[in-house]
Amino acid sequence: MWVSAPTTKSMTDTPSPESNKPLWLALGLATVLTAAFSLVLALNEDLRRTTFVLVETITNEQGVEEERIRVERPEPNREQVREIARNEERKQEQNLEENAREIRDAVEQLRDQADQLEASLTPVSTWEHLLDRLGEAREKFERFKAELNREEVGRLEATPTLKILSSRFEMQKRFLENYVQTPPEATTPWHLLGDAYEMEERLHDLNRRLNTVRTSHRQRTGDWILSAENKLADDARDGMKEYRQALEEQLYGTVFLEDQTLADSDLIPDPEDMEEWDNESNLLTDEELAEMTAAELYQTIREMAEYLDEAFADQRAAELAAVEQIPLEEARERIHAPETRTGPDLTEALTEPPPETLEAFREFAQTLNQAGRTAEHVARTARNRTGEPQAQQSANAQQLQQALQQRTQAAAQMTRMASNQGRPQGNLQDLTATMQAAYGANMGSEGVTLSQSYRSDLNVGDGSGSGNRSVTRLNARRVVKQALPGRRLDPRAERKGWIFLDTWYMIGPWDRPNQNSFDTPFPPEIEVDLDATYAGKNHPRTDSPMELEWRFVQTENIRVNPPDEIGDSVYYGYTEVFAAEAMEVVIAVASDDIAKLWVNDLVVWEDEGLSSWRLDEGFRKILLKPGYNQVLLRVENGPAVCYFSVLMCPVNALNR
Amino acid sequence: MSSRHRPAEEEVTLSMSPLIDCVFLLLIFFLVTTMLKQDSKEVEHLNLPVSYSSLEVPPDEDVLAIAIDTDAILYIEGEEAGLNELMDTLREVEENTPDRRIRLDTDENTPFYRLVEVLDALNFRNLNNVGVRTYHEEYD
Repeated sequence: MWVSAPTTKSMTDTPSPESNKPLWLALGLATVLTAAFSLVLALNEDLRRTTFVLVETITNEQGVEEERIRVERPEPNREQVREIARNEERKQEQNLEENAREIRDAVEQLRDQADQLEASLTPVSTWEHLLDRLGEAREKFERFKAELNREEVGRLEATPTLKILSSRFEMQKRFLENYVQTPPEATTPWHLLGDAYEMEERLHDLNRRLNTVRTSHRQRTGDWILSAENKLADDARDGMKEYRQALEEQLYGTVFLEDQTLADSDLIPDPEDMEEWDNESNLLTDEELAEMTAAELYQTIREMAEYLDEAFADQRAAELAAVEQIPLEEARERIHAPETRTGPDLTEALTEPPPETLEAFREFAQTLNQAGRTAEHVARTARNRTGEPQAQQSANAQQLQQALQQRTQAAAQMTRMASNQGRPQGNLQDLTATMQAAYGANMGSEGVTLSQSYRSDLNVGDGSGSGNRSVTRLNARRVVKQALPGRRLDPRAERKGWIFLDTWYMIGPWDRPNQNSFDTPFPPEIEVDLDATYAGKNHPRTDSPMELEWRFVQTENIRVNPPDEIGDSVYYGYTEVFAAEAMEVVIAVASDDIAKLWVNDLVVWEDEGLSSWRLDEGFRKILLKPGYNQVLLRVENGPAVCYFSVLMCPVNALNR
Repeated sequence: MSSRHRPAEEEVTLSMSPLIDCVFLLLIFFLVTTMLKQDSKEVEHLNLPVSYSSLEVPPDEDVLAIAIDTDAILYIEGEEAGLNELMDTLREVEENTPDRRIRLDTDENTPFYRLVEVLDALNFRNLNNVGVRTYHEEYD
């Protein structure tokens, strides 16, 4: 800065070149700074694109356009965007890693359970299996035979063939029974297959001849023979075909194995290949997961979701095989493998180079969030499928196997006791002891809590009938009037008495199987997933499968109607019941037509036959765990209307 | 007397006091005017129903925000969620923080059955600290 001297003389003097020096210096400095700034701007795109102020044109309330300054935060530069994206990715990586660990543990646990259950299965010999198949085929044949015996025209034509077929069935049965006792070792019993082919051919030929006879009868007399034989004949032929195919599979399978062990080394898999195959489904260690990027973790989680589905299906199949004493293969066929939803594949979007602009970063962050949500969803599914992970992990393999066996035994016993077939109206079965054994076998915290607080109250309705009543009557009209809607049971509540379950999530209709319908489980029996959608029965108008989803149903009436009520259909209802403490409860299930009820995955009611709705069809005394109890109902509609009711009453309230 | 030899008392100095004053003033200004706005976990496309009798409640950062839009899609804490997630979340809340405030955001045209479904789930889990969010001109 130049300061003039305080003299008048100097003011009139011409400035010396030295006095201008600071000005030149300032000018030079300004030029250098401007040049440097321009150079930096030319070289740095980020700086060039920095916005401090934007002027925008807006229309004010009077309709006049005016300009005003829009203040915006400066956009972060490329490096800053990359840094923010890296931070975001690191955060999400931790989340993905935690979820991946949880899913991996669940898969391991389910695999262990499936292995233990499979190991505990009593092997059902293939000859026993064939004997069952033959029994089914014979049952169908006998129905066809009985129907034919009622028809004059067909009976004359069919009697000789029917006699031959009956004797052949008997012969096959005797051979198979022998093989169950002592399996054939030296030779393969091909004669059984030859006979089966011949029997199938005879049935086919008989149908053809019957059709010819009926046609000529019609031409002669003009009478139509309206009979149910056509369908029964088809059933009998199908039954025979299924048996023949099963036999064929068994015999050819045996020969194939024999040949393989003899010489053909090409058919024996290479041990290295086997090892490779094993590794494919091997799960990753904590260290391997810690080293992964977000994209790799996401990809791993998607793969593990598939393993989770497989392991869960295996575990449920093994459980079903143990409870129903059927071959594992058959159980696997019955189980609908559930599918965990993982959404669209985001791997490609996650493996792209880090974002450099704010817009690209927003997209990237959105993709990361979506990947995180997918991981959380899979982890939640895994949690729900495994139940009590900590309790399960603490047990060793032997304890686990014992507990699983105990549980499957209890479940099998429950299935027998739950059935209402052949029992009088109003019968009361006590399932509490079996349920307690099954709960205790879960080894979870429920078992411990239950054993401490549960006190059995056997004053009423012991199914053994030793002094206690095993059949009870219910004043249906009074109960219908007095029962209140509810799902929470508390012994301390002032109001005691019957409650009816009024709130359900319902899904259906599926096609009702013609015979032994309970042998065909639909997806809700494998897993209740309230967000899942399934393909159901064909729509009567469009003839395309209906898309089924769980629907919320709440009613003030005791009787609940399933949505989209159609004849010959299967529906499921799911709800939860809260019990303030472990308590014995009498449950009354009534349905039009067929119903099966599970409480905490244990069958407590099974009523076959197209019966009409009666409040006192039968009663079961069950045990509710403290807390939330899951209730799943399968209801099947025959030809007409369909509704059901589920009522509950604590045993001590019933005594009053 | 040459200009190059100015007396010592005429030398230009830069006083730091006003600068520091300015800096402090700026600091106080920013401290006073900075407003920390909480993330209200909103679903942006909801058109809240209008109410003239609603009450303003103080913001609560622990509030659990459940929203339902016009297509009956559920949102928990601003993120799309399914029924399974709703049930799991309510179970966790019941177990850990049963008195936690729950805010229900719905659109004017949200299907009523879905609202009933969520209210029933809350009631069944004994979660009673529930408020329904509405639009009120005064509190906008």
